[in-house]
Amino acid sequence: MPVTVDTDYTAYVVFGYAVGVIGLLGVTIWTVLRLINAQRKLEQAEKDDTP
Amino acid sequence: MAVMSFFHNPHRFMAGSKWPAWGFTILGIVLIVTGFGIGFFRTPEDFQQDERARMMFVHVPAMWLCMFSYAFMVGASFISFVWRHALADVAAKSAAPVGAVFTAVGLITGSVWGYTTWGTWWEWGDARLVSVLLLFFIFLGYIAVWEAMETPQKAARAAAILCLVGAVNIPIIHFSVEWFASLHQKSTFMTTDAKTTAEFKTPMYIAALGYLALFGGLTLLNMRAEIMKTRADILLQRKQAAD
Repeated sequence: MPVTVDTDYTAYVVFGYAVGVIGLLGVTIWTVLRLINAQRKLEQAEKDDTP
Repeated sequence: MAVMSFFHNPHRFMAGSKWPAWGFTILGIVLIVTGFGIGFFRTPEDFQQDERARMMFVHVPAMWLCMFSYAFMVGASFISFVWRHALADVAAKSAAPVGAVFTAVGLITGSVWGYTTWGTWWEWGDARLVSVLLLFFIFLGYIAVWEAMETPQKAARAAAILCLVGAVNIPIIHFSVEWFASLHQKSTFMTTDAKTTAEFKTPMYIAALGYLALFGGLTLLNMRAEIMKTRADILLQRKQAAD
């Protein structure tokens, strides 16, 4: 019985690029949100600290 | 040494790092989009690996930069351990999540590329694959140590020791394809007899520079967030003590 070899790799390549884009975009968004939260927390703490 | 002394003061670091942090992040995104775009749409199919070769523009820079990220953390941990530099711990801690994501991207894309080339998603007997997986776990362990210890001082010390011990894995990853029988191909970009053409080299180097700039930018942004959070915690503790 002949063995069929799938030679269309487009879906795998697209998936690889999607992983790269999601990973890099994800860590970028996470970092920016972390920075915004830290900035808000500091502003609040400085406001509370003002006599 | 002069740069180290200059940035010993977090105020000075905060004043001088804002624009470089955003600049490197934006530059990184632009270079990565360009590198991925050229790699995906413009690079011709390889004579052996056809369109599968296009995965290298995502996978290879991720692997280079995950090792670079860890080497950066080792350097920062060493400076923290020896000179007790105020920002060295913050730098190592800030680089860890970025390095962990690069490693995860490298592992997943490597697995997909491996399946289309070797016919298997994973091979436990392969030293390159297993040593990179170990690096990923070291990144996670390093992040966990920071969260698990009672005080930031103890966490910094324990995390620095873990990071320095884990450094032994970096040369193992790099030389694993030379030392052990491996499904993974040997180094083709960093050798003098490399036959890779400019059509492949150009998007590869653009993407790699993008990953490097993004690493620098995100590490600086994370450092800024860490310093702001520490400052806010100190102010809150001071207020609680006064009340």
